[in-house]
Amino acid sequence: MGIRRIKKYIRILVWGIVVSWINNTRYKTEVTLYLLDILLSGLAYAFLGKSVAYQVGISQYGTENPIAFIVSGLIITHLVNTAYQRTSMSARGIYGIMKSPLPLWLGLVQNVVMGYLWSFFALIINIIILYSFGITFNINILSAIILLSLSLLIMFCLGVLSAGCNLIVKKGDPIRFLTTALTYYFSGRIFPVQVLPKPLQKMAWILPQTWIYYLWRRVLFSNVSLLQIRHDVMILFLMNIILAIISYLIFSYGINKIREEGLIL
Amino acid sequence: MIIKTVDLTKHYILRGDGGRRVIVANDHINIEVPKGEIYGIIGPNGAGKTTLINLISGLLKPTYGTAYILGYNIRKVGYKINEICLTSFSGEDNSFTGGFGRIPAVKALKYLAGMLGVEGNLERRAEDALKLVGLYEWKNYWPIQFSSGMLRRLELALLIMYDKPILCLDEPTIHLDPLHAKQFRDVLKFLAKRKGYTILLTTQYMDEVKYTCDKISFLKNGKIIFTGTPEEMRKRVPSQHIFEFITSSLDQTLEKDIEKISRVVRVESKSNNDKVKLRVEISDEISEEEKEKIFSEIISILSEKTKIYRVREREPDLNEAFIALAGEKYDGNKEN
Repeated sequence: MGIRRIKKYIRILVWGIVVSWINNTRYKTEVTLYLLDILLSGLAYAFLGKSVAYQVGISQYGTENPIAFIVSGLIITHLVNTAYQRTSMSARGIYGIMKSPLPLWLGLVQNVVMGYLWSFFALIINIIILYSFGITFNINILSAIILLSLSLLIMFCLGVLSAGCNLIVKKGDPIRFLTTALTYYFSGRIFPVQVLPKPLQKMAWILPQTWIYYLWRRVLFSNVSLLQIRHDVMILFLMNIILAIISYLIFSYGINKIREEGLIL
Repeated sequence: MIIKTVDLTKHYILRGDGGRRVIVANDHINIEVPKGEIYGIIGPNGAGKTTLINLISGLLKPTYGTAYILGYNIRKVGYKINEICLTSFSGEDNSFTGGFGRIPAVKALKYLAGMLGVEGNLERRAEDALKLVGLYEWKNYWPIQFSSGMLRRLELALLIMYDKPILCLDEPTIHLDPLHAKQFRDVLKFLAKRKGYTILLTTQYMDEVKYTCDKISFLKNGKIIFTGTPEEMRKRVPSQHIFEFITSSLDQTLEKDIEKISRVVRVESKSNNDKVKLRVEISDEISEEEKEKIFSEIISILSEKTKIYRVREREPDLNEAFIALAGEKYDGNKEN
């Protein structure tokens, strides 16, 4: 891939951000309510953290503060989940990209980039909430960069897998169920995994999201170096490779299926 | 040839409780479209027009055969042909929804084109495209307030900005009124004749075929049963002489009497309130004298028992040719 082509792709992605901004900000009330909603839910979680002292399992996430634990769950969700949400497209959405002059992979990446414009605002609001409750970060930058790359890739792969399933089953995507319902309970987003009964705890660590929330909190609050978390990062890396292969195969199969059968929804 | 299909075939498997059943949506389709031509794919509903467009756009995989688009084998490049040289569009598509409906048209075009990889001075290119589709004076207004016809032309402006030499349009003027449809067709003609675009389109509107298409293929049950110019298609109607009478009333014996006249091929009538429209088709191989004689005979039969309000003689139109090719009976209500 030449420099010229890379520049072109970057330009297309930047246009995506501009378009996302324009497309959403034209409805001013909606945008205001969206931002207000993030603020209110962030505050609600912060107050929840303040009122409920988690006795179990917080310390191993790198913080003793329940507010830090719970609001960071929101921050991590906004940080990594967009990569999943915006890739997990409907069959019609995928078909739209196929019809467009963009390569399919670029269309998917562009959709993610467009989504991050809005996650960015959510991220900022929640960081402000944390600061307003007197909580500060203690981040290891190198670990954060590596973890960001790995978690974005893993969520992107999950999104592609989900889109592939949408192409195959049309409705009722099991990956979406896995990444929303199961993540909510088992990933440690809102409460530590240690709160769960023992058998469920073991199951929870099968989910890549559980590793993502666990590692991110440690990187955000206790300045863990890459060396300290190398084993966990390796597990995440292996999950990434496995998911990348599975999602590629399922997505290709899905594309092939709609090209064979047509878009029967 | 810009587009060439070679025995292009598509089978679908029907789903439901009726057991496994294979339907042939396109059966060994062979068409050739040279540069700058507008090629129409027509046929009754379910004939396989959209399937053919989707096969050529690489969105569907052929069961057998292939298509070559600017020399690219569609079996190899698949839907990536949309990145290379072809733009596909359905009349139901609408890019100017949401926020894009609420910014000036020229900006909406600019941003959408940029997002889809169009390079260069986007604002100028957007303005040029708007000029081409006749919307330049509306460039600073919100698309959401445009009429359906204007929106469709705005879509076309976006397609023009992609700058791909081939347009595959699936019923591009669907739901448009005759005036807006004509404006859209004018732009298509301009693009083909002046800009060298090659356009493949499906349509149900015979006006569109007559006005726009250089050549057409008529699909029926997935097979091409006719290829030629619109005029050649019109001449496929069995009878090229049609008399139409508007009368006060008509009983069946009158119709039968007219049918008995030598060289009369078909007689049909349709009641509308207190009037009746009678349509008489006369055999092709007939001299002017014979025709006049038949006409006089019909008039004398009719004037005995009914009142004649209006008479006219005409050639069959493309709608009748369509119906003749599709193998259906003529229905006076379908006339334009």
